Amino acid sequence: MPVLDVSGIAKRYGPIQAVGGISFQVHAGELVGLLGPNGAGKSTALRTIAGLVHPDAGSVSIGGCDVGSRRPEALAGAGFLIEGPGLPGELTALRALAWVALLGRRPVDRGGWREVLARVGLAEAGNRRVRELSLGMRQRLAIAAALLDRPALLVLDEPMNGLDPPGVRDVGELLRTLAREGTALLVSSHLLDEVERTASRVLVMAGGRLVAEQPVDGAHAGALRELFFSVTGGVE
Amino acid sequence: MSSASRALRAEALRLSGGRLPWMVPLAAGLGGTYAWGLGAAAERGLFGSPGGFYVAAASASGAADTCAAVGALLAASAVGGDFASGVARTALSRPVRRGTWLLARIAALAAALALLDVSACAGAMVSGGLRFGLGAVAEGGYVLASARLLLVQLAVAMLPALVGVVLAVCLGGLLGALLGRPGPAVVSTVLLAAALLALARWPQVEPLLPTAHLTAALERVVQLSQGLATLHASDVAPRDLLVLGAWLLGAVALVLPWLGRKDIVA
Repeated sequence: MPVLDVSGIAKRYGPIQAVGGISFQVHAGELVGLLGPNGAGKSTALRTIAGLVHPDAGSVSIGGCDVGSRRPEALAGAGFLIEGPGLPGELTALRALAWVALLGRRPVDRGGWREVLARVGLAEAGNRRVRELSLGMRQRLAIAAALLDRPALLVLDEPMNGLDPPGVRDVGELLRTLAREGTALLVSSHLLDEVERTASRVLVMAGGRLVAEQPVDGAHAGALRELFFSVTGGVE
Repeated sequence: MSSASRALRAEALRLSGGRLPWMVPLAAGLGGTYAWGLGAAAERGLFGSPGGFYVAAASASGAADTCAAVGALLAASAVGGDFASGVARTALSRPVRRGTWLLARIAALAAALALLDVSACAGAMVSGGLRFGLGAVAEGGYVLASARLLLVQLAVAMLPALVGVVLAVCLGGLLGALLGRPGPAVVSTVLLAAALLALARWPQVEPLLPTAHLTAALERVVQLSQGLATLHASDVAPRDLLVLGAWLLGAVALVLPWLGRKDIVA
């Protein structure tokens, strides 16, 4: 059974068809890259998976639970980073994780918060306020928050945003490790080279539709770039 | 622990790390200072009467009005800010019901404002007691209102005042959630308050408005503590609580189903 099953979701905002009926699945241990030019519908698709947006048609299920009808149960098995780090700026990094943990279902565990902070390279920043952290550090903290419940599914929207090159490398390595540990990952990104290094499969969206889906063959450097430009008509 | 109590703990955590710990003594100090000034004016015969319960009740009335106004604006700004900054997006992509999270956020803010209101009233009471003593109101040898009666009536009158503060915070917070940005939410809250005050000019409508019930019971204690013949706070408080409670439930019942259908977008 797939961890994430997206079936024919469609969403229209007024005259704009943001997502036009896309379907795909993500299985345990798979790292799937979601690519597409700006306005392709990636963020709307991810928001729909997170239950933030109600689709006009189609359904999303996580671990067999339908997000539309059993949202809290479905989201209990998933971690999300949607459109950047949205954490309360007045809290310290550790307290921000406590806030996220309390909005979940698992027991609150201070040791667990420190563990995920260390995992994203913020072990020393636990007592700093979120608003005092750099954009890259806040991004890492948001990834840590998504990891709190040891989710079976991790959905990350542009997780490399604001990260410096070592940060991109570290987060890429973390994502590969999580996939090896059996987590299902769906990651949207504009960094084609990084996706080529980390993902096992890519989905390419354009104009709200899924225009390509194929495994990543790491043996052919640059193949993903060629695929991307060929199916999106050269728009980046 | 239930989902609601976890959400409430989460939102209380946000407040405990902020300015609240030092605002509580500040509110008590401001309430005490206001009561002291009111006592000085009453002693000179400018208004009211020089008595501990009078300055405590009059100050409590002012504190309730202030906390309601500040609370509504603060909640509009805070909840609107949550939606604008992405904090609501993070919260609502967690396994918690949308209504549960929003009510927990508003309840935490309301509890904080109610705590500030109680602190200001306690400060006023201490100040009134130190200046005049908290004694009975008497004329000659005749006791018009005993200290015990005044104390009980003041405590009863605080109930609708606190519910009124909670309602104000709730209305501000719900407008923040509806509009999703702090600026428009604050402006809308001001306009709502202005509309309620304008409607209160119609005698037929006024008894149904929350603005008429926030401090009505406290005003009875103010009158009683001056030795005036009046209804007791305990006579008017049930009606106040009924009207304020109906507004509270009505506002929540109107907004929560809408929030369930809302798309949370940037």
